[in-house]
Amino acid sequence: MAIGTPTLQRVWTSLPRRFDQRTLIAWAAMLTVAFLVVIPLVVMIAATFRPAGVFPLDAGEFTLSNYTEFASGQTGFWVVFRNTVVYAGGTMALAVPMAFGMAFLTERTDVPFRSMLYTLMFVPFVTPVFATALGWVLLAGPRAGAVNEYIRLIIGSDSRDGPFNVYTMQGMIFVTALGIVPSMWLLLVSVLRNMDPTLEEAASTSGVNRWGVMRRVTAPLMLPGILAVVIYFTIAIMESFEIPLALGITAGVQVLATKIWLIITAVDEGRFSYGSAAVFGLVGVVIGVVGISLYLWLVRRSSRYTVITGKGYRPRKIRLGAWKYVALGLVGLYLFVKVLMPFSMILYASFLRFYVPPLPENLGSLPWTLENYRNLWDYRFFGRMLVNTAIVVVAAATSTMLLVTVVSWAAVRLKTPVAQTANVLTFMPLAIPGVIMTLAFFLLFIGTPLYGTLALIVIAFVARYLSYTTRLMYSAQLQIHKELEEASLVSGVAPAGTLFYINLRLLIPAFLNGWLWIITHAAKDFTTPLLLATSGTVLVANVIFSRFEGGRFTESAAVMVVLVVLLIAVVWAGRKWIGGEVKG
Amino acid sequence: MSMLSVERLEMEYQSDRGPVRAVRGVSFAVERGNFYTLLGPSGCGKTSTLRCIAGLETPTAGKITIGEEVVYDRQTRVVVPTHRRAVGMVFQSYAIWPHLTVFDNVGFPLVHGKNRVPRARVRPMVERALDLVQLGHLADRPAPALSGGQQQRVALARAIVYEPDLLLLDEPLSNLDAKLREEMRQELKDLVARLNITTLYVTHDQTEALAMSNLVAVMYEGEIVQEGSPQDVYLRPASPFTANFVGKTNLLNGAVAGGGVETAHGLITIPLPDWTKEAASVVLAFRPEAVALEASDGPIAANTIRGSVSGSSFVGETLEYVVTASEDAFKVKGDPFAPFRIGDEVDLHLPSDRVLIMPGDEATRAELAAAAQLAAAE
Repeated sequence: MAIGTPTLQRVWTSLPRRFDQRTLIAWAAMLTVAFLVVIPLVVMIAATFRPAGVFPLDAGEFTLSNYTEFASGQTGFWVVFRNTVVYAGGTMALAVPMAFGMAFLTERTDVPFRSMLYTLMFVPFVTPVFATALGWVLLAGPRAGAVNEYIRLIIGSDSRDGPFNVYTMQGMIFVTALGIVPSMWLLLVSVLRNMDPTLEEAASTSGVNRWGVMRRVTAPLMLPGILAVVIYFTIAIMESFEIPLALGITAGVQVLATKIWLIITAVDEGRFSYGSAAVFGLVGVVIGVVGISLYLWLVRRSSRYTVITGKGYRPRKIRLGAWKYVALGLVGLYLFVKVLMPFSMILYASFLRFYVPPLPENLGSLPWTLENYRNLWDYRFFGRMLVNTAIVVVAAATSTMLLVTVVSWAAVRLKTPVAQTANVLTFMPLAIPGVIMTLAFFLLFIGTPLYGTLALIVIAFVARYLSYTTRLMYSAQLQIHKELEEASLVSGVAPAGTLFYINLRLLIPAFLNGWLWIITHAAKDFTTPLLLATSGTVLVANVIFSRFEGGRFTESAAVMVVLVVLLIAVVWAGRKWIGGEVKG
Repeated sequence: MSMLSVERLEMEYQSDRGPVRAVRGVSFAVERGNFYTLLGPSGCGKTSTLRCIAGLETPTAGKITIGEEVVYDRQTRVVVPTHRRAVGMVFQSYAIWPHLTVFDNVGFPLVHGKNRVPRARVRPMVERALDLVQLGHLADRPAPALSGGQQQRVALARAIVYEPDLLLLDEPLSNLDAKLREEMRQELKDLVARLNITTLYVTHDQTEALAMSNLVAVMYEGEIVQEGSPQDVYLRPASPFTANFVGKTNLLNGAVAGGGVETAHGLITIPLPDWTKEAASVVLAFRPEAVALEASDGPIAANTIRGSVSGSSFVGETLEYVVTASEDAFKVKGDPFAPFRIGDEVDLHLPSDRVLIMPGDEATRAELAAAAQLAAAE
């Protein structure tokens, strides 16, 4: 029989039908994601055309003055840009050798206590970057830093400063490099792991010596993977906020993220100028988009090289002999400098009424107190920040994971244009720095009732953590055989019910993993709270920062200790729980 | 009154190389209580047809009726979603939910589905279904702790627990090992017969199709090339494809001559259908077991091909010979208790009622070659 033209048929079959829940779900997911990532950016771009003193969405005049100011150099862009580049470059120069060295030691050599090292390398993940910064302020602050005091004591210097000063570009680079080593190590370990050792063995049996194998086979195969990691972290550092905030403001070194924050929080002659902040934000978006495109291109390239053999994978371990204790010592030194030193200082400071360096002459008369901790129970201020933070991180983690579960389900199962659009949009926050994403939300909601509520902070977190968790759920979703869902549909359960009873239930391990990841990241984050929280919605980060800024290090330290302890407890309990879920 | 009727079904999907017409105007009907099989090689459109009936794929044209209800009709734009169709289905992968016990897997449709029953009735219904598949003792087992055969039974119990009008089986036995497959084949057949449930079965395995079905439809390139009883399909294949895909077949080229077909091995006398009056060349087809094999003795009788044994393989219940006669090689079955040796002279007697005659045109040859290749691949 005659059936219409193929085009007509396709149009007809792609039309949404009545009662088709799956189409509705896909549309809902796509619109939510679009609201989270597209609208804020559009508003930010709109803001660049508004004069000082006008909200981005208010009626009124449009102007190009933000751009002309920017181009004329009045905003100090080139200084900020140079600082940002030096900061990122210096950090990478210091961190990459450390992270690669440690990845190589833990993955490809017989360094002793490997499994313990793996566990220990995860400790820095729960510690806020800001805490490491505060720890190093207490250690290497120019005057009262403990390290400085001791050095001056030992060499008998009567100078009141130095020799180290953490409030400098070098100080920022040092502390940032310490901070990113664990994440970098984790990614480099997987680069080393994805390398098929038989490729090296094939070269060895061809008569090439070990150095030759390294140079001609191992290095070229791993290069794209390592470059991808380097680019990823360069972008992350160029747009990082916490350490430039903790150290750079005092040092007088402004980078992109802190500059934006300074513009937003500064009220210049009674007139705010969000427009010029938005122009800086646009620069950040451009850097991010270029960098992430380069990163994705390299990842594709390196995955072409990846030969995952699965079975029988046994990386040959290089025997270090007596050197293995030196290697262990180096890893130990890193953990000492990154974790032990700063955190003992923070713990020490948290029990003092006011900060006194732990010098021999002071030891008898230290102002011990439990006041800093007792204050935490004062609900009017400290207690509320804990409750607020708990509400925000749990709400953000839960809503993000529910959203990305639906998005990745739609992308994997439905494959309709709507579902694919939702999936592609979730990549965007990857290229948009956290400060700028938050800035965009700030600009979108400033002047609306939602501004100054916990809900706004939650929404901003959802947008920021969308990318990573979508990738996580997408790959988990691919593991679920589609017939498991079809069996439920055939059993008479509607698509929404199937999503809930079968899909979500089977994805629980991945769901909880992502949930924990968001909880720990959001609780440690300073960017979003500092830009979006108001006096009614203070979070832990706000309190830590305000005490720190006001020079009340000991109170700041006590809050950090509580935060770190809580995070360790949550992660520990969560891991146990997930472990139980997977088995049961 | 048929339980399932499919009319001029068309389905198209997008592949990397453009649209593919997976189903091309398929029509058939399954009577209440019948066991109907779609048989064909992979890619013939049988699974696509089944999935259209379940509502898991959307057709591009046609009409599907289950019982009294039209579940898909392009003309009136009716598309009933899967969860509202009165079908039960067993998937190739079994699709047993690993987070539930055996009991909860089977009870799932009764608890969450449109066939929801009061709490109190769930247990007896699940128990009855599990007893039917002989798994009553494993009800509290977590599903991942089951063997392949047991998972298969759970999948079956889950599909029949709410007594659907129509049971859809998508190659349910293909993941089992050979011995178990044979057992399950019999059990499945008995079970659906006892429940008197209308069944649509999809397989590429001709033995399953022939052993279990009331009716078999052989599919090739998105179309049904023959529909009939297992005997019809096997003994009287209506198309070259069926002849060569279902079972093994010997082919012999020839030309129509008075009262029979003249071949390289002499005249084969067979009844000639009307169409052969206009046909220049024809192809004769006969099954290996249609032939009577005897040691050569004296002059060649009528309808006989004389050759020599050039290969033999012992497969237990029979001996499979290759007999070479001039240029041609024929597959023949023989008595395992009275074997011939390589090189023995033998006569193949072709009873005229066991030889099939087909047009010797290009289309037939192409179909025959495709079927032989696909059959070998399966």
